[in-house]
Formats: sequence, C-alpha cells, structure tokens
Amino acid sequence: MTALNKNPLLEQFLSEARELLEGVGQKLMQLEDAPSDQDLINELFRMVHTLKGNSGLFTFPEMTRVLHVGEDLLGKVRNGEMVFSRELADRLLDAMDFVSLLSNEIEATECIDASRAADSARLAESLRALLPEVSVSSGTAGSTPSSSKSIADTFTQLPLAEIP
Amino acid sequence: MMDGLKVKENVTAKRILIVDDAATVRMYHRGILESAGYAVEEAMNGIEALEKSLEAPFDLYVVDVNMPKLNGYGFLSELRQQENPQQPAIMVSTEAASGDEIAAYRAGANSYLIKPVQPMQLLTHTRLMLGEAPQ
Repeated sequence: MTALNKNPLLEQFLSEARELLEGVGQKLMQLEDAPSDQDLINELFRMVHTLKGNSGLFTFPEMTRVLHVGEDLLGKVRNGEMVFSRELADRLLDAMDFVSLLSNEIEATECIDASRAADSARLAESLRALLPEVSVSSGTAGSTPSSSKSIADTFTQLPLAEIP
Repeated sequence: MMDGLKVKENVTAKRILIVDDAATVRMYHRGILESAGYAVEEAMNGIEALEKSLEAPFDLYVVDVNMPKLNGYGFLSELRQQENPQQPAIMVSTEAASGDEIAAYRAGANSYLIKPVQPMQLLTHTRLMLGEAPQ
C-alpha cells in the first residue's frame, strides 16, 4: 500500500505511532527501576508488537525491520530467555528514536528517504547482536533454521507416530 | 426517502465485530469490510468484545491475538462458552508459527489469517464464514 495524500489510515498510523513511541519510552524507563516487572515487560512487548504490526500495513520496510528485532528482543525477555539490562534499554531507546525520526519524515513527505535503508539495516544488526547466541546463528530476520532443508528431508523427520 | 433507504440497508447488513487493540488495524479492517457493505463495530480488547457480543451477537468476529486485559484466545474461549448459537470467527495474527494457528482453532476460531491481511483475502474469508458466495 502506498501513502496517498491525506490518507486517513496513514494519519491514524502516525497518531497511534506517536502515542505508542511515547508509551514505549516511559515503560523502558520504568523497567530500568523494576527490571523484573512482568506486567511492564508484557505491556512493552505489546506496544512494540502493535507498532510493528501497524507499520506492516504500509510499505515502510526500514521501520518494520527495526521494530521486528525490537519485538524479538522483548519477546525473549518476556519468555525469560534474556535478562532486561541497561544496555538493552539504551539500544531499544535508540531504535525508538530512529522510528520516531522515520515517523516525522513520513508525516512531512509521506515516504521514507532512500538513504535510511542503510541506517535501518545497521541498527537492526546491532540490535540482533544482543539476541542470545542461538537466535543470532539462525541468520537474517524472517528465515528459519529449517528453511534450507528440502521438503523430502522434512518429510522423513515428521513425527508421524505422534499424530493420534 | 434517502433516510428510509439507509435504515433498510443498516437493518439487513450483516454485523461484524473487529476486536483489535491497534486503532490503525481496526480502521484498516473496517475500511475493507464497510466497502463491501457490512455493518462494522469495534472493540479494543477481549473484555469489551465480550460485553458487546453478549449484548447483541454479531454475525462474524474478526479477532486479533495479542491484546491487553483479555487476548484473542481468551475472548474466543469465553465467547464459545456463553453464546448460543455459535457465530463464526476469523483470528488475525502476526505470528506465522503453526502452533499459534492450532491454538487459534482450539480456542474456537473458524479461520486464521496472518497480518498484514490483503483486502481480498479478508473479504473472501468473511464471505466464506458468512456462507455467502465468493466474488
């Protein structure tokens, strides 16, 4: 979907994005004082998840890419696979600053400048480096460890005996 | 004359409840469904959706998974216990993992779509769920 002049959906997206970015900033600061507060972590995850989902309705891959890794990181924290640290909070704040910058750009020009693609890739990479080892080795976002296997390989590994 | 027509239209249109905490997604789904003539209402979470649906059942539910207060699974499980007869529900998730799809069907969904949903995809599933001919 491309951004049209005065597209009400785009206006709604920008308004909700602003609200969510503000919320994410607040929750990140609150979490620094209470890093194990599960409700806060759940809420924070949900906000980044919503923001990512909303951005996916448009063609803003530079924004979606960064939010996707942010969501992955918070998902790990939520599931207890990663500890919420000061470093993580700082990196996520950097990511949200970038998303905020992109939002302002979209508001002004209704698109994202081509030069942002490299910044987005770099930022996503630096965020991904914070993920626990197992996830880092799985490669680029969107690919799965099984994606390189052939269908025949997968078929022989199906736990058919377990199907009732 | 025009008012009379409008009322008639509203009375006959199938009612659909969109349950999603993201206002942008609600607006997107609403736009698609209203363009096809459905009467759309919105709820921001499972609790609000449950209140609205028990007050006056809808013909179809389009339900997000991750929501505050009561998530999509919780809403559908609760709805299935309380409604009679059962109305169809499409679960709309951002998760591509097969476990989530199975969890959706176990909770009571009749159809499962991955966000972002293409307009024709949502309309086709909607018509299928409502027993209407696909267009």
